[in-house]
Amino acid sequence: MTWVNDILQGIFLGGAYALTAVGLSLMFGVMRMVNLAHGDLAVCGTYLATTVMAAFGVPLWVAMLIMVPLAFLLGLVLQLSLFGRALRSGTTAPLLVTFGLSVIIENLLLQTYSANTRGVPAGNLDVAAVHLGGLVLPWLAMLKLILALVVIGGLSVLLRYTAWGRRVRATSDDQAVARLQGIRVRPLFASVTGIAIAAAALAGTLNAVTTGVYPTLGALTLIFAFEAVIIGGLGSLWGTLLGGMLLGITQVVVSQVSVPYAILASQLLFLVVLAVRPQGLFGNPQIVG
Amino acid sequence: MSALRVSGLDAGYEDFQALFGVSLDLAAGETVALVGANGAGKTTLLMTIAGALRPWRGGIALDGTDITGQPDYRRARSGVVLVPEGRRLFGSLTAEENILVPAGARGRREAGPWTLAALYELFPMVAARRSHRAALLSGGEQQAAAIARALAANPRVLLLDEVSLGLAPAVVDAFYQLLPAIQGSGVSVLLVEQDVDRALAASSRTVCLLEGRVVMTGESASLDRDALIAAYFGSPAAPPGTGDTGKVRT
Repeated sequence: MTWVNDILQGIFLGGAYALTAVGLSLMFGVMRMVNLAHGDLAVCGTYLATTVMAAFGVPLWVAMLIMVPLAFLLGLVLQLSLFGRALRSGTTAPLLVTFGLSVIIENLLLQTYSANTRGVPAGNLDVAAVHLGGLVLPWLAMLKLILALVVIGGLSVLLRYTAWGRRVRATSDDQAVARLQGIRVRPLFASVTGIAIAAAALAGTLNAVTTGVYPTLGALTLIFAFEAVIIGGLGSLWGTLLGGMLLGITQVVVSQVSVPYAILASQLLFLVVLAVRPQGLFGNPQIVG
Repeated sequence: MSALRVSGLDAGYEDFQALFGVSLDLAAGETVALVGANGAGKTTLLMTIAGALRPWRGGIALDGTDITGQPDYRRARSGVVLVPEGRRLFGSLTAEENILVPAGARGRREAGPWTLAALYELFPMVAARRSHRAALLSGGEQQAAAIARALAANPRVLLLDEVSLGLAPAVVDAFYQLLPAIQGSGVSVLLVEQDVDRALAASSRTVCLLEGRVVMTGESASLDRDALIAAYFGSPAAPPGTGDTGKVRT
């Protein structure tokens, strides 16, 4: 029964990874843009939530209701001001711009909040769990998994069945022709980045309930998000969910044998996938899941 | 008043000029054929009219309104729609989704006759394959879907770039039989066609481009075919009255 429980915990952890990574996957799938500041933007969302909690004395869920729309707006503004310009300047410009943004964000956070780890108070949400026979169902982990499913499922439905989704997929296929068919690309891409950053900020904040938050956490966040995206297949949202799950399961199962090797094992999984199936498990760079 | 008026258009790519003072008019519901050798500037002219390229000089007017400065996405909504060379459907979308893309664009002109039902009636082969991904359609089906996608925007001016390229002659014949139905809805068509005979048969007027310049224009029915061929190739043996100096103007 323990190994069943281990796999279950791995799936929960995978849900957290997937929720963190879905925005990275979406932005790559739609715009072929790798956002190296993805993790740092998630961390910004966390700091914003803690700041709102401290300033207004509201509980975490209220702070998140304020923070997530602000993160969406931040995504809009970044796309309209920086990312769009970078995308129009060639393939390396987005990498350089987002790397620079990452450095700026980490240093601004260090200046503003110091290097100390901050807790994200959430009552007893981080320890509360349902026990079911030999299985442990932690509330926070379940919440993250459910949110991952809702966000990825919701995005898939939006992309497949709405006029917005049609425009996004058409633009992803052929941007020049999309313009000639009357699609205005800038606001469309801004909405995509807004969703990506909002999802990242949501994930980052919930992750920080367990781990706390510090200014350089973004780099670590980015690595795991990136691995989930690559393992699942670039641009595939459901692939990203599966990639996150595989990372999570590997990590939890190996940690039962040896805790220090748990992180190493998930990195090795990533390397093996890169070597054997570099396009990822859902290898076709289509964003329709 | 012309539906589309292009006047004195210079355009090109970076430091390469492809069009030199090109002017042409399209009346409402009229089909004009644009012929010329490879590299004559036909595609450049269509891309400039559609807004994908900014002209260096000159103007483009739609129903008397200057649209030279309008960005490409807005121009499509105002009614100038291009069917690009090579069809360029959105490959991962179904045929029907391709057609729905311009129809869903916000801020476009008033609704017109080309509803999904009307388009399916005109192109039954697209209707039959509506839920298939566009990348999996045959060349003829793709071309039909590409024209349906353009018509779905209910354009005033339809720009057709080499619709017959790579298609079986029977399929091409079928397209040209549909052209009157498209014109009948009041759409003006500017047609780029390699096959001069087909171009002359399908259009009321023909414009010939050579190295970025209009070297000949005339009524398609009365145009001297040999003179047109000479203008097409810029042949020095062209009989007098054709070529750069003696334009046949109507």
